[in-house]
Amino acid sequence: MKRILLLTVSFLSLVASTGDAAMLYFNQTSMTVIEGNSFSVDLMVSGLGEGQTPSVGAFDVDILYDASQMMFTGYTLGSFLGDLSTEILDDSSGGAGTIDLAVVSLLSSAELDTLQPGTFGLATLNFKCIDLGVSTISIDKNDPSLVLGDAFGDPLSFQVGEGVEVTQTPVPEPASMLLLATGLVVLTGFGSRRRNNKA
Amino acid sequence: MNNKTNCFFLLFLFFTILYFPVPSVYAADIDKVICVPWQGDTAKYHTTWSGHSIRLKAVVTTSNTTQFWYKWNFGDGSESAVLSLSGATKYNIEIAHIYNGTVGTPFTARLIAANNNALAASVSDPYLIKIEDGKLDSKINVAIDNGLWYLYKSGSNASSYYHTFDGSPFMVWSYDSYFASSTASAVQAFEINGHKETGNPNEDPYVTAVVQGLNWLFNGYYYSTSYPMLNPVNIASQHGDNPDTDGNGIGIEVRDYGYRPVYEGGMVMDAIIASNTPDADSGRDFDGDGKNDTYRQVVQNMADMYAWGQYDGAYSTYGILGGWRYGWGDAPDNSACQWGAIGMIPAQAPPWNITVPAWVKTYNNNWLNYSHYQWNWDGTKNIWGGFGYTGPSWGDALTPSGMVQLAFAGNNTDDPRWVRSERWFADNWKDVGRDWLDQNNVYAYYAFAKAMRLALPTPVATFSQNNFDWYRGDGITMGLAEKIANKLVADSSWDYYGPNLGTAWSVIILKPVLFAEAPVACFDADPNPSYPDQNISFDPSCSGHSEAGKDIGNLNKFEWDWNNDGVYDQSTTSPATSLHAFSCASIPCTYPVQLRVTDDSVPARTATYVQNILISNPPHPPVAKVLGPSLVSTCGGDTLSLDGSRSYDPDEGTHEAGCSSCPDDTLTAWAWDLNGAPWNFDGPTGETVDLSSANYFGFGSTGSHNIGLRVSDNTKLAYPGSGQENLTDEEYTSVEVSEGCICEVTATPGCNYVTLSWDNIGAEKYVVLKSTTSPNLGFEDIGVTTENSKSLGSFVMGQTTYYRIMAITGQKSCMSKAVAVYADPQICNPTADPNGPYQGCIGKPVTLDGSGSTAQTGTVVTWEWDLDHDGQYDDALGKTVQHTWNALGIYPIGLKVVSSDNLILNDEGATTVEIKDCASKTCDVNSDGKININDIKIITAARNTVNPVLDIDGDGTVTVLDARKCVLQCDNAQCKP
Repeated sequence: MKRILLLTVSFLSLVASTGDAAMLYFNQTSMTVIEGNSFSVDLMVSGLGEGQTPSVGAFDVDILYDASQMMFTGYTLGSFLGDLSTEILDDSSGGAGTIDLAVVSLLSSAELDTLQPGTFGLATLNFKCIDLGVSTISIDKNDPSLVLGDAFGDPLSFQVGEGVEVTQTPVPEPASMLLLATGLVVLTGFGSRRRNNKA
Repeated sequence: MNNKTNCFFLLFLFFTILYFPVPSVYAADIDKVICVPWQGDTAKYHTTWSGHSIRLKAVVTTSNTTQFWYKWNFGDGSESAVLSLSGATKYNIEIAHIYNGTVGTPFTARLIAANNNALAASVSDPYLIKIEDGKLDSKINVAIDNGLWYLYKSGSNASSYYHTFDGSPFMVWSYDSYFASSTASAVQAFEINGHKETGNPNEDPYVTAVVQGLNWLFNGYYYSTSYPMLNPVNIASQHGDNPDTDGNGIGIEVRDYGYRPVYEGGMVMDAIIASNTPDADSGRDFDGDGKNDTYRQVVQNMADMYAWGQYDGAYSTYGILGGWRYGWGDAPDNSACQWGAIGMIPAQAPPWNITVPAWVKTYNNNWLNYSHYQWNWDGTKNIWGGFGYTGPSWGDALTPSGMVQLAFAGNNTDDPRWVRSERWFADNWKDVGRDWLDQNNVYAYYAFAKAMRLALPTPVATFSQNNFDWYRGDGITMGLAEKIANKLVADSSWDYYGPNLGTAWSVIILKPVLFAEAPVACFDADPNPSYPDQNISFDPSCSGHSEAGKDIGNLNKFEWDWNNDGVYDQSTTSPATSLHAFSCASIPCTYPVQLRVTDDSVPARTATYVQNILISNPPHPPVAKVLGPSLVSTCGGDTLSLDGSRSYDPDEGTHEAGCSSCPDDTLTAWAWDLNGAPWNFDGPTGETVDLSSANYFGFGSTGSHNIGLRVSDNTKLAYPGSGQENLTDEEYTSVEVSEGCICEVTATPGCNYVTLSWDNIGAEKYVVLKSTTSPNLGFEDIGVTTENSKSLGSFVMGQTTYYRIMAITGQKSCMSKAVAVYADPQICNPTADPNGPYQGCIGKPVTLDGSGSTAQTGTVVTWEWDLDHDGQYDDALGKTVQHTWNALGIYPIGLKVVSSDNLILNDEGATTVEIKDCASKTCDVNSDGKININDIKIITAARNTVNPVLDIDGDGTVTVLDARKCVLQCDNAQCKP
């Protein structure tokens, strides 16, 4: 637990050290996933006004991933640009290797300023590991349409954080399962003998 | 049984006897009837010429030695009497017959045999004959045909002295006490004429002769095992030279009953080499390594034997003389020496690649230096030369024997010894000097032919001294081919060292290649005769090859000598038709035109053919041209189109000079004969004839049928002064009628492909046949499938292609009707995509993007825009263009794209440009008077495009920021409608 806390502090220090510009990044820089398991990463924004301007009114971000190693299974938008059902216009789509997130908030400027904290999640991206190996989920910095807009529809200056290095590992060895099963058998036998002894 | 019943029974018995003859209990059933195929190919025609008596030849085998009956149907409307034979189970059957007709007339004779004199339930086999011009090339073919038949009949397995080590079948040709060399030369004569041990003995009786002849050479012995045909001999190094190139310690000699190993060895090597099967099993283990030797190993050890047995005595300044004589190591003579050379020259060539030590050639060359003789015969600079028997001299056969050795030793034809010797032949050929050709010395002929054909660096076709073609002659002086052909045409054999050796050597000399099957040169010249200075068409497409599996596709050079000077004036690499005109100062003139074809073998083989072209005054005969061979099925609705429209009259539009009332000469009649010989041309008439299946099935059966066209001109009226009747010409081709099945084939064309489908009738496979010529002509196999559909590429758009499907199961096949497919090139049109609809602002350029246009074939090469809606795509050119409209409105625009590959194709597309007043830019982008979620959706959907109307913030691109700005202008909260 101490180690995780130390990493978190270091990461926030890194974010803080970028000055007052906004920043797009993922909520983690590396992770390990077992083949066949699902996992998710959060696309974050920071450096906002926290209850005041600037706030985010629209964004258009492309996320890149290795489709040979992971399958994109869906996304969930954060709620800080408005209620998902009535207060945003979502034109996002996902293709092989690229996720195009394009969202316009339908709230007023004042509503957005009030609603948004300084740092929050724009979207949660869900994947499933389909092959072994190491690959990266990243924001496409070279996408000419990459934009983060404020509540007035003006562009916000922002930086882009590093991608998420995802290490996909095989399922546990059968030997481990055998050890577990042996333990269960021993426990079961022990319990049975205790019941017999009681009898 | 009552009377009525009796009467019925007697009638039944009568008709039974009448129609079902009962074979004699003493009759033999027919096993096989095998007519001899020309050059081992059942599709090739034997040659004859009109009025010449040729022999038809076949072999019949029967179940026992009792009687059987046979007759020949000559295919010209005549038949032999029914004849019978008995006393054997294998019979060589021949008959003489005279055919008459014009050049090119084909006949299919047939030998019919049965176990009864009515020839019911008979067995038969066809014998193909074609009439040629009766000139030299025809004579050569008939001579070879006769000679091979003579040899076949002379082969024997009857002597009790003949044995093989393993008791296997053999065939022997003999001369005196020698049984190897004459067998070898007979086998070689068969082999280089397409009769190989790898052939089909059920179609070619000579195949068995070759198989058994080779077996005799490898495994045979005479009288006792002390006299084997081939015998291993221990060999070792001599004076520092190692003859044992394969290191197995042996050479192989021809032992035979009479002992002349040097003479016989070369002939045996040649027979083995002409098999072209170096890896075949000889059936004997000569070197005792526990494995049978291959043909190549035998030939290598025979070459080693020659190396070991070469004379090795030194003389004067000549060094070791080399050469061979009767026994191994004997002092040489130039009669014996040639056989080592003739065996080892082809042995070194691919695919045998036998090793012959260089010192063998060096010593042999020393011997040639010693035995060469030269003399000045006319007191000028002219020098003749020759080679003597055991010393410097000359001789009819000894000189060419020395010349073969010159080639073996690596000397070119510019070697002074060769030059002097060749000059002697040029000056003493026939009817002059020695009159060499009339010495009738077949031994000398064979030595000479070997020398000329094996000369280095290339074979000698004409003497350098006088350009005389030693093989063909010059039309005035006879060449060697005519000398020998005349003999074999008349007598079928030449008795020189016995008829077997003399005949075999004669047949070998007549072929242009010594150790393998030769290509076949042939051409049609039309019109012939013709006018001076008028192009004549020379078509070499009748050329081919006599080796099984090879055809005209294996010929890669076609050379024309227009003036018979030995210099080839024109050359092509494919069998293209060439045009040539002849000037003739004083009509008439005759020009012998020679074609030389070269094949793709290594080393390359050549063959020549000569035809005389006559330049004369009119009237000239017309030229019949019929397209073929044709293909048709018995499917109902299939049609056979016969096309004689390419026939013409070289005198077309002309008439006799000074005769104002004479009509022009022209073709007046096209008469077809669909029934084969006898050719009376009493079938349909017309330049072209279309026959339904009911008509062409008048052929009576499936299979190949010869048909003919005779065209007639108007000579009698156009040239009355000539005193000639109307002139005619005939040409022949064949129609292959296949049994009909899967008659209907469906064809669906796409862009550069077609999909064919048909009923699955359970055949093992379906062969797709394609033609771009007609429903009956020019079909070739282009694919095989086991399914009942197939998609095919290489489909040419804009023309009609014909397909047929042949269903094959085992040996049986049947065929569909032809399906014609016209592939409209429009199928391959590109797709014009002008993008849009566009929106723009008054006075500001609108970017129009046609880059989404695609081509199916090739690439899009032009993008042409119609921006003023006048139907003309002439307002802008380019994949992406800009245009400015200066008034509000919705403008229709069009884009035409052109793609190019082998076809130029285009497509047109249309869209609109809506021009707005952008000075009062508004978020009401759908112009409904409201700003709400619908406008936001339009803008968002257009993000990352260029659209001045939707680009609210004017930064050049529509983004989510434009949408967000309009959110702030919405009429209602959350942009509700």
